[in-house]
Amino acid sequence: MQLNVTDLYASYTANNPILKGVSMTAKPGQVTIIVGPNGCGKSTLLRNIARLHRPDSGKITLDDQDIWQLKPRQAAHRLSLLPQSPVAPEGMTVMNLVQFGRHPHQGLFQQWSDQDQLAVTEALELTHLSNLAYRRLDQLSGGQRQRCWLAMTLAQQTPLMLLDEPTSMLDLGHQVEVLNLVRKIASAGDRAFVIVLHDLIAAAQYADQLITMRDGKIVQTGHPRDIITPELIKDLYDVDVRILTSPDNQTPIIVARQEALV
Amino acid sequence: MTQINTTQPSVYQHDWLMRLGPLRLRVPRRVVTVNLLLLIGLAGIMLASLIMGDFKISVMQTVRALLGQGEKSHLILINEIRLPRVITGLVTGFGLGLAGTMLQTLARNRLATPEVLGINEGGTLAIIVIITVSTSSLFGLWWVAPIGSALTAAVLILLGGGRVGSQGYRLLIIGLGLTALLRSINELIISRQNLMHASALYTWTLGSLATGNEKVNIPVSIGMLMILPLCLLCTRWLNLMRFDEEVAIPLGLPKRGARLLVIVCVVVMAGLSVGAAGPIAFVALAAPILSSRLLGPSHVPMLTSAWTGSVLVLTADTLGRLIAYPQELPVGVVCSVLGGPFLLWVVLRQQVNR
Repeated sequence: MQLNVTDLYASYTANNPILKGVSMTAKPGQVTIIVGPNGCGKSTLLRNIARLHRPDSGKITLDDQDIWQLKPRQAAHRLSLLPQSPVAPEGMTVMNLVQFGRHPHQGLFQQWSDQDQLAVTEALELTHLSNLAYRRLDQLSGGQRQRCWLAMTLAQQTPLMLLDEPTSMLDLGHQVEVLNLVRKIASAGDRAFVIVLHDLIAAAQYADQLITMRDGKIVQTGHPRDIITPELIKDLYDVDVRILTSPDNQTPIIVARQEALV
Repeated sequence: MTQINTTQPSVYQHDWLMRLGPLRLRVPRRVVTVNLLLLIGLAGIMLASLIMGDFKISVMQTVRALLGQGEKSHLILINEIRLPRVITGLVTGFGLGLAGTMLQTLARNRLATPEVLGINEGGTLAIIVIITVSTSSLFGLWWVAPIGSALTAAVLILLGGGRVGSQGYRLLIIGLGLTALLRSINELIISRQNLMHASALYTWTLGSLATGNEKVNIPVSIGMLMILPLCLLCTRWLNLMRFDEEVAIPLGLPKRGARLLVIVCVVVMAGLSVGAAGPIAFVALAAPILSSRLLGPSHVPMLTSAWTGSVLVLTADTLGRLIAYPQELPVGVVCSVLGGPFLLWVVLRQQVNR
């Protein structure tokens, strides 16, 4: 299922547009990562795609179907969102939460199917949570909790997955684990990921398509190897950097220059 | 089809799954146990309430009278005098318990109940106004209360701009203001009545089962039964409403439609309860809290909260008749007395959790 965003304008208050003509695509099997300085509109873009905020103009389509024309439940079959620092109702267990990913697949009289059970079991396994399934969320660490939310969105089994800073709460080990998991699921080929990320190095390493934004506009789009240059980073963050290359896979590594640190 | 490995975490460890034709129903064992116990408790308190009174009657005689057997005097006493009062308590508690759990979930705040937001007070005002302008009796007017409640809810939504606010505080603050305003109007009207009329009205505004009778019970029960399927239809949405919008909407919550339907259900349920027995305090606050403690956090209690409400109202009414014997305290007074400390506990607990 291909996501197409065309010429999107969005604002929270009149005459103060946050997005000023954004166009992008995301294809199945690809990891698209959006980066940019704070307030550049990357989270707003994600909120527009997730139907949390209605754009002023422009179009968002999934396989040529306007997502704002879909019924809430239809949309929930096609796209899922892992929001920034979500909160669960008091006292819920891991299992309770992950089951909510199946909510759009259930109905008043279709309360639990084998498919639901499989999806939940698979999501728990992928996120290494099977042995924590009956623990209460408030007894888990921030990283474990983040994995629970990821498991919930995975259980939703949507062709498009939107992740808003999925690694911001995590230490390096768990960051790598989550992003590796995303890569692994994406490489199966039927899901598209759109991820907002703060960490440039991780973004460069994991993205098939990197989208850079500033002031509500897209600056550049492309594979990290092709687009990351010191000039681009300067345009985005006003910082002088050097670009190194990872010895493993030749992806760019961005390091702030000494002068910039002083 | 892949086999489901039973050693993996699975819902089958806590829930029963039933297949009825195309239906796939999932019944957590805890829900069954809790509801069974509650219904037994409810039957017990109903029976106790029937037996209690000046005229001594045994349990067996009461049960026989309920089944239409035994002495004529017993039949009249139980079925025509005492039973209507118990039924009024049953339906009032049912409506308040259900309205409370729905409104608390919608606002995502335990303090947001029909009584705190003015929905009960609006129903009360409507009845008082009609009574004073038309000099009709209290009994035939059950249908006026839901109208008053609906108007109050409309004002509440209008003043709030359709928004609930963070943790329901916007709704809560406006509701508190509205309640104070409506209550003062109620008191103003009552104070203008002659003493006898005023005291009858006043007792009613506290909430009392003493006026319970079939002429009210039957239409109120029918009304509640008609809106009940709509309430249960909201269950799935209410389960989602406990999350932030960022979680609920991508999981398929139709925000506006769901809110509207929940509010309609709350208004009808709470309004009918007020119409039957006046604005009984505390039940709509306590029943959802107690029942979700019993059920656990996996879903919003609906019928469980409703039964809990019935048990609370009937227990309070029975207590009110015991404490001040041979006189009786209106059920609303007992509830207010119990409700004060309970409210304090809820508020303190919410602060601790923040």
